Amino acid sequence: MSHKSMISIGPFHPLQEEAEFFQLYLDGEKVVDVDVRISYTHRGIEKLNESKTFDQVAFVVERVCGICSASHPLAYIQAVEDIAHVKVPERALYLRTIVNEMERIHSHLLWVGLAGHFLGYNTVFMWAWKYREPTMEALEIATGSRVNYANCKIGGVRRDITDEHLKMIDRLVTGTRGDIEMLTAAVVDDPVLHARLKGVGVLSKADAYAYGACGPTGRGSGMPIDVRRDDPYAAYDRIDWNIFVEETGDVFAKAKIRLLEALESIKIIHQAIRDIPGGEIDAKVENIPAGEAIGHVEAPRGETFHYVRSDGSNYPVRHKIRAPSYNNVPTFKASCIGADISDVAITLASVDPCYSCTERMCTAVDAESGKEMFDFAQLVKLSQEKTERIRKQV
Amino acid sequence: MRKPKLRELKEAIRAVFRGPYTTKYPFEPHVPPDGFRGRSEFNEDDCIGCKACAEVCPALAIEVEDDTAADPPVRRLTIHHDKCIFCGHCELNCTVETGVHLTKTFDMATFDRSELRNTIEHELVICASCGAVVGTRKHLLWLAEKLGAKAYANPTLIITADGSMELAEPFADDVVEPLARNELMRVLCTDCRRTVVVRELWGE
Repeated sequence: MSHKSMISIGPFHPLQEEAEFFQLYLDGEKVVDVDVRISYTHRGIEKLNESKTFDQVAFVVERVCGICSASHPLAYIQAVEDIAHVKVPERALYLRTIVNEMERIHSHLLWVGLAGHFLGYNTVFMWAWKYREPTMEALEIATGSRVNYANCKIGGVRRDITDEHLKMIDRLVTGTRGDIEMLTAAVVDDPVLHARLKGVGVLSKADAYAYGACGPTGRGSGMPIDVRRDDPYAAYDRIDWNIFVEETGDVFAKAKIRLLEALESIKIIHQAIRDIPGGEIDAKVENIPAGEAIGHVEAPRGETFHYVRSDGSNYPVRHKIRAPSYNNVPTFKASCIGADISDVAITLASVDPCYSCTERMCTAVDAESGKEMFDFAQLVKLSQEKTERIRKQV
Repeated sequence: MRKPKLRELKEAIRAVFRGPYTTKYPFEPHVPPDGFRGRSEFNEDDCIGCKACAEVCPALAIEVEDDTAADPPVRRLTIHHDKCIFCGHCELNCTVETGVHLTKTFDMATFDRSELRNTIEHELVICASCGAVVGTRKHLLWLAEKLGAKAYANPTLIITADGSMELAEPFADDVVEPLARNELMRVLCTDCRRTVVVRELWGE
């Protein structure tokens, strides 16, 4: 016997720290439709930027997201450098590459850890976060902080990294290669994870193109797009690296791509530290002429896009930000339909939606029975119980 | 099936012998690496009170307060650490490069917000005619030293610098209105100086 019901998730997300709202329409345990509504965390950052000088805006956009705090300023700064026709010194380009790739490693491992936790695999959670820690230390050595790196400035970077520190960073980051390889193999070989993730939350190639998915979400569905390769910035065109594309489009493909990309980032950092030239780190930009430009950067979650317009004063007159989650979140409309309610948790987490807010949840109370419908703990419990069932069968 | 499990078992056994990966932070001190961006503090010896840091601060965390009623008049620069975002823009844009720096202190949890302050006071030089703020004494001295002989093009700098070395006699404080040529050799703000010069050239 089946019955139609509706589950509201949000506006506070049960899995990631993000305010967004989903209404799942269920037929029994199957999702038949999903209503995605976003834009709950309007913080007025674009307007705020119009009251900050060009130098100060970089610190504001750094705080758009807690994890992409190297990608957002870099995209903004590339836009401003395009307006001012700045030639950035070589060394600065390499330093930007190193910090951005370290950010990618820590973001991807963070996601793998969280995904493991939601599936009831707390070992994956503990190990992934443990292997992430040396990268965080390296970031702290390179930039002075574990988050909000304040690394880029218009015309170069704000702080040079000494050769001694570069060696230390190389040792820390490359030192985790063996561990991450082990973790990748453990995740890819695990029969329970195969049963739990393969064929779950499938985003077909046609749907990925239709929704304009980007980053690992798009690459997991067979879209070979990567800003680092398609429109090289920083030092990516001087370094040998590959992008990974999987055709299946399920959560397993996205997890595999993230782990492989973390390993590729280690390779990029190692090469960048080996090849880094000496010299200036700052082009010393005097003023920003009138004009408009765009800057885009491959953030860990996909393409982050910034548009800046200047009228020749010290302040930008317009600044538009489009974060990758703006493209990726609506893909739930394609990937959740037909899934089990217990698979929705990991499907929603699979695009790694990106905000940095506090984790909270509003509960919807059934008016007739007066009971709470689903809360965070219940959804995670449902997900973990399914893994437990599968583990017994495998 | 068996081989992968052995691989993970190896990691598990290794972890048992290595002990916990996490640090025992509140019980054992944590030392941040060099270059860590923590609590920012003024350097009493080097800061000249030019307020460049307050101008560039993205979070508007540095407050400037000019107290001209006090004797002597003072400028108070206060970093509010509860507003600070630890970006280091003040340190990077400091006029003397060493006037403000970010220390390694990171643990600032407190119940009393007034502890989250770092204040520095500077003596102000004010216009002898209108009482407007010209700058801090230390800033003018720094400018005079930086300019060397060229400082003698600016009477405000001459009087401040030579006065501090007791090379020049202190001038009487009484300014005669309207401003006239003899007022040129007093400490004047830019507006009053312009008035004197224009009157000198073109008359009333």
